[in-house]
Amino acid sequence: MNDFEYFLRKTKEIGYIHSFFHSVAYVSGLPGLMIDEMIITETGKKGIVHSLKEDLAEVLMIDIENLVIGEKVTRTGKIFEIPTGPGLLGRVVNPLSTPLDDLEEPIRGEKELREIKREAPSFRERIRVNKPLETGVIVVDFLVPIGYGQKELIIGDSKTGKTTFLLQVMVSQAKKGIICVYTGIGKKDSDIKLIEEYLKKQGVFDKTVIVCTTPDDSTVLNFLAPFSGMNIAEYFRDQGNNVLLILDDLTTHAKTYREISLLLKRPPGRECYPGDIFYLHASLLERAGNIKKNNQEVSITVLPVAETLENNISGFIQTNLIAITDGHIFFDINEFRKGKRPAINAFLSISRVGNQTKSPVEKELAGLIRKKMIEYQRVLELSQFGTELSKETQELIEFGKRLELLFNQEVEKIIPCELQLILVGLLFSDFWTEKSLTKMKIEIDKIYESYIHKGTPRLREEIEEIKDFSHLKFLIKEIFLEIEKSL
Amino acid sequence: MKKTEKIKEAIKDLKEKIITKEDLNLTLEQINLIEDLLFKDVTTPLLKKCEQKINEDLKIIIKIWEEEKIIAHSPDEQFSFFETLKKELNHFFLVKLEIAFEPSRDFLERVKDWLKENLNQEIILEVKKNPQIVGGLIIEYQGKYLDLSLAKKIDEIIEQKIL
Repeated sequence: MNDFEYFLRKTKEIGYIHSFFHSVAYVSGLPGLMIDEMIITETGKKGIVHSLKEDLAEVLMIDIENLVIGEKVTRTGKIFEIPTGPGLLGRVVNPLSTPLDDLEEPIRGEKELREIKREAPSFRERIRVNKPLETGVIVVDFLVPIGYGQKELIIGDSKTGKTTFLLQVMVSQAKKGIICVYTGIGKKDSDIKLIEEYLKKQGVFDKTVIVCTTPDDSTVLNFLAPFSGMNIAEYFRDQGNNVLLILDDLTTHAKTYREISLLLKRPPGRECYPGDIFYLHASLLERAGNIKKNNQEVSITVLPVAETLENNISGFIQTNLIAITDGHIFFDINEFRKGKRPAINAFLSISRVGNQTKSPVEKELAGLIRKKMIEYQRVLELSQFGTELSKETQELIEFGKRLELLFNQEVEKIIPCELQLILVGLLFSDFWTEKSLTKMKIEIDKIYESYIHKGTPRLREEIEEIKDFSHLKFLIKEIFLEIEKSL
Repeated sequence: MKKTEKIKEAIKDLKEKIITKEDLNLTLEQINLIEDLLFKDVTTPLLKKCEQKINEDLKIIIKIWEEEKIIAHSPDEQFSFFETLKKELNHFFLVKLEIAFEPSRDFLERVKDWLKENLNQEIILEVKKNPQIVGGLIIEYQGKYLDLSLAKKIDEIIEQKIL
């Protein structure tokens, strides 16, 4: 007995494909059908009920190849669900958990079927975002800090280093044992391959799940991708893990949903997007957060991506996502063209809940950095008039340049929080004031290499105990000579 | 009896003669043929005009309708009568039956009457012969699917015995 016959006997309801258009099928019959329920045709094709009309149901078909009008359809009585399980770690799968990687073997281990659309945790389950999430990128960790359970939008033009930054975050987190779920929506095969290879090279692929769709996949599959990613993240969270979920990107997802809505003859709204696009994204992202489960704090930190065109963040989807999330990190194409890496515009980026997770010394330092950066930007503009500059102004410009150099970070470098504090502490303790920028760069690299390879647990402990900036300065003075000797 | 009541009665009579979906399709097809002939040679009586093109059952019905003056004489009124008739005939509820043998007309009539009485609806049958169900029948009505076949019973017994 196949699936169709099994469900037909179980639900005792039958329907027929009345008509279909692209991936939307209209189904008659099935009087007890529910929204989001999975249906199955007599040839085994599956679909999700999108809406119900008086006589017909609108169904999003996952597979429409060889679908015929008049084909028998039955209900399954279940909301559309996908298999999840620990076997997904270290695999590249499509939104239906079908492997896409070169392993040529099925997903092994225990599997749990989970509904793809679930309710977000209630406010009673939720707890405050209280732990910092270390991205390993200095500019973000100091100026736009993220906490576990936060929803932080990554926004910017294409090819400005968004995915690179996300990969750095994933590596940094996976090394700490956090499960990372990367969801690529409508991504090129080659891009997915590069991501897979990068993660393998960094030795964190076994802590990662890649859920992806390509532009060649059906619209419905592309539409399901973020829900599938969230579903997998929820599975690992419910197993007691902290999870980092990346949705790359929701502007493509919105376009997919727009395509489906227009096929369903929904009235087009602003930029032709349907009216419920805000609800769709809000209900998806609301499923992330920091919750208490069985007296244990677990979280899903979600980093959705939004693409802009020539730095225009006032688009419909972009503003929606800015409104839904707890802040955004803006990748500025102009900064990118100037050679800044990562090209984050710290002045236009914000983290609404991340600051509450930071220690007093980090907050104090962030305030100082921000102040210096604002002053630097102002005097930099003035200096362009060619007037003679005072010694103080020149010093400020030099400091700004050093700050920019410190914030310029290569892709492979993931700087731990303690090292970030040391480097910023060194900068503020005038360690590099008399040295050239090139020398400073070489020294930063040397300090990084020595810290990463040798590891200094004693220093780490001491840094963890730092209470304020003066304490940090004191510690830096103590290790000043030690560092100088080692260089 | 008023004319409108007579028309209703006439339509009811015709509906009772329609048992299967094939009957319905054939009747609708013949009504279309009659409609094509209505405006040709308007002085000739309707039955004479169409007697070569319609089947015996419909001929008898039209003959009675003409005798009892249910069908008006003017082609326009005749046309509107047949349009009403077509609309009425499209209001049947379809019941699909799958049975293991080729049913007789009499058998189908009895099944229809029983279903009509129990469902309290104007129904027509779509019958499919499927020897694989062995005996009994499978009914589909308004999206509901009821498998009362012997094949299913046998499957269930085997499953119970084995498991």
